[in-house]
Amino acid sequence: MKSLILIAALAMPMAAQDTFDFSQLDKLGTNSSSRSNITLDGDMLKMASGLLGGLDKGGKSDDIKSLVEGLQGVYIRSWEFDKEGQYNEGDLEPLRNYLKQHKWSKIVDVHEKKETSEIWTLPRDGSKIGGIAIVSAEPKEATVVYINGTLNASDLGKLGGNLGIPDLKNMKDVQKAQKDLDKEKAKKDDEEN
Amino acid sequence: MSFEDDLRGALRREPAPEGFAERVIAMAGSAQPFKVVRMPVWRRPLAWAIAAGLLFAAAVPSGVMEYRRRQDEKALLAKRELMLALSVARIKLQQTREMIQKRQRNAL
Repeated sequence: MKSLILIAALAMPMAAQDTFDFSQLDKLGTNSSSRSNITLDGDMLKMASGLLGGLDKGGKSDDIKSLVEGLQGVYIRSWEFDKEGQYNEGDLEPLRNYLKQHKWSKIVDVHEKKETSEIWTLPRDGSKIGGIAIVSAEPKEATVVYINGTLNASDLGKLGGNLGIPDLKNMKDVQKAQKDLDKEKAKKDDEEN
Repeated sequence: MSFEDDLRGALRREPAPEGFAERVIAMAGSAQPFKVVRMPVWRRPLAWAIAAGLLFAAAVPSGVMEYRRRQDEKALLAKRELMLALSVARIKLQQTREMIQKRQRNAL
């Protein structure tokens, strides 16, 4: 019995570490003028993927379904600022530290003028990866993409393709689309209550 | 006395007490006839059970339909959110690719 409790006690923090605690990045958005926040995990991701696939003749939905099937969580955090210098790039360190601790590999690290872009992946057996994280820091914008779950290396290429994903050009388009979505969600919540 | 004699004595036929037959006939004559009481419908347990069953049968499918409609709406919103998230991933991957290409061009 004691050993069971010990195993459970050891397993709990391990389970808690499965996903990065995004509240650690809250400090970064203190001065932001707008932000995007998407969290899709567990049941929500299953619900969403349930509606994918078999809808178009080109097989794009099937492609995206196969991409999404192995995922456990999709998290987006993006902040936009009115002026430069309104956030400290060091505020992204908790995420970088988490990725390092969990043996993610930084496969791309590009610095250009005041822009930084990093791509991290979690290596798995063969051509599979256990997730992808993109950390992008611009003077007036910071974005974190964190996709947790099994992906094929070829899925990264798929992400760059069409796949029926809305063709949004930049984060401004994304923020506009998310505002519309948030409005609809709030409307639905009102209807339910 | 033997056991058989005891048994015989116990089972001996005895005459009815005096006036017994008259008393029975008198009681039967004065007895009220059986009264059939009809309960109102709303007091019958069977009626309640049927009404509850009908109500349940009417409520459950509409409740299930409403639940499924809400689940479908939630799933649709989740799908749009997922597409939006994948759009962000794509935008950021493309931006990184462009940064790398620019760097490579500059290096040449």
